[in-house]
Amino acid sequence: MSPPVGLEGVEATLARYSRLTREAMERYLQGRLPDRYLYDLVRDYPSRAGKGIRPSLLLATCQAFGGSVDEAIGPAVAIELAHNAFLVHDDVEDGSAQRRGRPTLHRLHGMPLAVNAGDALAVLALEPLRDGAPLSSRVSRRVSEEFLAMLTRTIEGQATELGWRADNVVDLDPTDYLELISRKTCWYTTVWPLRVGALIGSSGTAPLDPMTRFGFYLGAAFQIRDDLLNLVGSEARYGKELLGDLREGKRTLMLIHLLASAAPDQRRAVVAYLAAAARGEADGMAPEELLDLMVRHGSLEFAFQFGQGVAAAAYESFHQAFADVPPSPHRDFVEALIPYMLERSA
Amino acid sequence: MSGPRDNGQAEPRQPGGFGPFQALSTFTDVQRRGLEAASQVIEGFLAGLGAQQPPPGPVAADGNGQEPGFAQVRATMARALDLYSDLVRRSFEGYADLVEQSLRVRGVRLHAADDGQAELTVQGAAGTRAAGTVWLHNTTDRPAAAVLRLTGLTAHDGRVVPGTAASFEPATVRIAPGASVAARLALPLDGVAPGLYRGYVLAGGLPDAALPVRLLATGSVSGSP
Repeated sequence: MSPPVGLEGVEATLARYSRLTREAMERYLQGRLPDRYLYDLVRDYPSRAGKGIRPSLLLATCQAFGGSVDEAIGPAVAIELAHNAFLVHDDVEDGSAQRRGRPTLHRLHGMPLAVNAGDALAVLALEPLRDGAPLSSRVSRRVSEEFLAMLTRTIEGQATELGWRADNVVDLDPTDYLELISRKTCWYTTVWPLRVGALIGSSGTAPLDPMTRFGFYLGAAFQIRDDLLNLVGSEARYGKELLGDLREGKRTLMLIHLLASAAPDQRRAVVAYLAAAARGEADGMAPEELLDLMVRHGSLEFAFQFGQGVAAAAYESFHQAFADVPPSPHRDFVEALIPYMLERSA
Repeated sequence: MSGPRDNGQAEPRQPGGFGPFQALSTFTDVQRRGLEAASQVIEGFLAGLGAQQPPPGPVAADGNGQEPGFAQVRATMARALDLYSDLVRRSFEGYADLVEQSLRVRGVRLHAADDGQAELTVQGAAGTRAAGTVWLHNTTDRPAAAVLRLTGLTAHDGRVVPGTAASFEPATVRIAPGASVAARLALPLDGVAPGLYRGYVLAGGLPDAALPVRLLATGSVSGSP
């Protein structure tokens, strides 16, 4: 494996790890019945090409710490299945129309079947952890404990976000946003893959707090970029409907910045718009107008620069977390994910 | 820092090649705010878990103060110990399963030793006596009694050592529920040709109980009559 160079190099490595994970995942999804009402739906999102950041980060970290793909592939499949379970339920909760360039599962099959398929994905995610044959029983048990803690934190974060929208909470600052995404996104996107990769690769000897720190910064940079792409990305590359976050009234860094910097009458209009979004209604303001307000108030530039500051912290913490890890293409790949998080367009 | 594009999206800039915390003075206010807010959030979270703060200043490229390669050695040792402990655990569990399975079969069973050996081996020279111990385990909830006897012991060429010559002490064994009792087998080898003979210890009154016996008879002891 040669070191990844630039965006294309990172994406090529992501594609390679994703393929390995998908092949392993098929073993858990193939040949199950009933097809029509359950497993066809369960197989749908995993078959749509995602970036595979989570399994790739886990596999590369494990290899960087001296482990093998065989040891880490089960947990890599587990996190990918859990991720797809979250996506199915997120799409229902957000009323989203598109996922990875195609209609969401509940748009295709209706809410009840989609929710049930999401449940199935969450349960199936446990199977690769149970089949932890290449791992010692001690490490396998710790991986399962980490998985449980990760699921719990993610669900707590999601509950907070949904609650903010339901209660139309608007008095928020960037720290609140970071607290939210630390649970909702970072834990399962970056913290868990890094912790478990290091745990398996080092047979439980590597300290994991530095992984948590690095994973938080990396995941926060990822989420800030994701929120920006939802506003100004290419729909074809991004795979979700643009401005979806504005329609749903999602509390992003840009929205928090706008609420803090808008003139009082503009702020009142934004708050009314968010209240209507929480009820699933359209207010006088269109999402495009909200975006225009954000651009005029510099909210996008604010979020971009804020994300750069977070990414800078990610660089520092990467060198702490990987201080004892010898140079390798796997280590280089993990480091290259930091600028990738800021530059990606999908 | 590049400005935003026409559509409001800022142009990304390569952040590589600098020490972020050392370069704070070159940051914009918003970048510094992002770094500090994120740092506050994660350090608060880790403090809640009782984690240690990272050491201040830049990290040496070759490690965080440990001997180079020590982390890899430690990981390799942990891996080996895990492998060994899993092996020991699996062996123990396999053995314990076998013993448990054996004990769960309710009845009176004969063994050659108190650890469940399934064949009794006795040996001696012609003109002497071969001896061994037979264990009876009663895993029922009733007392049991048995009269032990030895079948004829047969060699590969058809020669037979009659079992009637053997004696057991005690001849009749009484075993309380859940108890084990030993009986001593004595077999005179007068006139027995050297060779390997096989037969069984049977327990009169307990048709399912039997213990294979292996007699190894050697030549007469030098100097004996």
